[in-house]
Amino acid sequence: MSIKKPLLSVRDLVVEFNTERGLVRAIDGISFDVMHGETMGLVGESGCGKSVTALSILGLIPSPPGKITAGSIQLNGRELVGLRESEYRKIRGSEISMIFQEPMTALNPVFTIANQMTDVLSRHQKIRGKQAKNRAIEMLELVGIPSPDKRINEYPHQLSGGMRQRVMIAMALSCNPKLLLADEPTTALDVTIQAQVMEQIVKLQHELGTAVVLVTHDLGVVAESCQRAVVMYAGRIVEQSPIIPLFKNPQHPYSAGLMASIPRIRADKIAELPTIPGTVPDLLHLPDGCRFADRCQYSDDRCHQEQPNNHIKDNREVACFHPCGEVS
Amino acid sequence: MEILQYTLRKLVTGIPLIFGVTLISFTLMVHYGPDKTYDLLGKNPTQEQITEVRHQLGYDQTFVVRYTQYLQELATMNFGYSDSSGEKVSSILIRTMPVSLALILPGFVLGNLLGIILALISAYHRGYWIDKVIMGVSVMGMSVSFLIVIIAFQVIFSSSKGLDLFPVRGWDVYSFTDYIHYVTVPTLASIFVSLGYNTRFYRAVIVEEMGRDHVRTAKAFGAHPIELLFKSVLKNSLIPIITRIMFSIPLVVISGSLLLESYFGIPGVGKVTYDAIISGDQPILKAVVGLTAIMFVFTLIINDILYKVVDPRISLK
Repeated sequence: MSIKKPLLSVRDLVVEFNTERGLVRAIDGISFDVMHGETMGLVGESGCGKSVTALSILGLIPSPPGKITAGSIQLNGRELVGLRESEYRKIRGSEISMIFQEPMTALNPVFTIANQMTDVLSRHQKIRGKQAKNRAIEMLELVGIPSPDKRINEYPHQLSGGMRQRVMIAMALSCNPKLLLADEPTTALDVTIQAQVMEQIVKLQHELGTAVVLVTHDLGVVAESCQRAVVMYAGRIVEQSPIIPLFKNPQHPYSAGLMASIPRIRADKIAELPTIPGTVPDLLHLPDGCRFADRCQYSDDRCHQEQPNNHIKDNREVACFHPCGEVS
Repeated sequence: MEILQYTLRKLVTGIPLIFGVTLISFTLMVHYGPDKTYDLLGKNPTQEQITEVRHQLGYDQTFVVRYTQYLQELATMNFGYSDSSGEKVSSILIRTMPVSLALILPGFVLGNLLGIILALISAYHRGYWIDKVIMGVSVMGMSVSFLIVIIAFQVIFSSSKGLDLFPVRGWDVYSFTDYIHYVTVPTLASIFVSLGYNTRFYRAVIVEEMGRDHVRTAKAFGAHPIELLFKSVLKNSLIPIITRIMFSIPLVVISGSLLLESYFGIPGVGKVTYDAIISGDQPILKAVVGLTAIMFVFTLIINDILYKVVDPRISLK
């Protein structure tokens, strides 16, 4: 069997922002692949570069101040970095779609659902009028919106948060994208609705064969719906691994810290939920060595001086001198 | 139906507003206004003559009676005759208002349209040189006095030292070509002066709207910049834009063209009002002030109805 080609391949991507306080490297040389039809989690705390990664795949880094300064992003072997705007527009919404965190504000408040959905359809699928509207109604039905033929004529403010996010999903999938970027799709929703919406994404992904990059800080969601996860810390990837070994046996001390801090029912009662001490380093004043070293219980002199490279072992990649706490 | 009910309700709430404005303007301009008794009398008038004239002018009546009369005049649109020319006030207004409208409308419409378009371009390219150029020119336009602009434009377009294409003053309009002939320079001057303010205001509104999540969504779904600006962004920014435009209408129609009319010698409402203030011609002042108040109330109502048309989230209840 030949080696499967990835759908999306990100290599050594560097994204910098020109701020008033100086040049900030929000993403510092990250590489990962997304295979056809797989769900990949992109995990990390706020500010680690997850959303910037997703936006740079779509070429939507606000510029200025942001800029992709190095690296490559390939979709099916086609280079996206440096692609002309007019070419990129044809990809956005058709080959790669994105759903956003805030369903309350992500839809345009002054246009009906029908108007917004048929715009996307006529733009990419060249279908108009009644035909486009029927297709949009089909999509709404697919994402589980009751009486979609009536709902489609409503404005976003007439729908609940969960319904709006379903509309976003319907819109994102309406042109059969190969890749769906979901940026914290459930964070702003009620817990009960969260589960329903995630279920919907996973179900549709299986039906339509769309690959999904799920950007989230919610490890529970990742565990339930992803096959693989990439853990980011301060603009770098610290670990990427299939989901089961990642949760069972996290290699990077940061991943291990994250796993330990998930609230769950434990065999032995604990007085306090473990946390990772310290805070994320300021992106303007990054340490020379490993970025996690200051917060890491296993760190030694070498960790503070040298940046660890990726070790690849059994499908897993870890950027650490002491993976899983082992002392070399 | 909902809109009709709303309009009626708004009209009712507009009534106290009209009372308030007319009461204030009546008190200031009529009650404490110029006394014309001695203008109408000869030298050394007798006490009887004075009483006679004061009676004719209605000065001997109480405040309440005179104010009620004013309201009657407003309701019937019959303001009597001008003190200075003896012409019927309503016919003066009917004669001059179309002239003022014809003078001011092209500049008003173009000034706002161009302002919106430049603001959209500027906001879209925020921080780039094109934005900086547009904003710089706007500040320049705002900083130059209207008077200087009028005189400069007259020199440039109408004098023998300049292009000498248009008349310096006057309003001798019988055909569309005449109209273009006389309206061009005043229009250019008013566009030049209003454009800076308009562009800066609209740019601020649009920049705020450009930062909204739904704009990012539209981009993420491959919207073309033109579609993004003129559809997604513009309709969302329309509320402040409509407010600004609507609220300048009463001022523009009644008094906004005063400078233009006097410098270009155009017989419009602004000029008539100005002359009336100078000569203390109360019937005309009463008419203009009252009509402005009424127009404001109507503008408010139309403004609120337009909000509803533009933004479905606004309820008319």
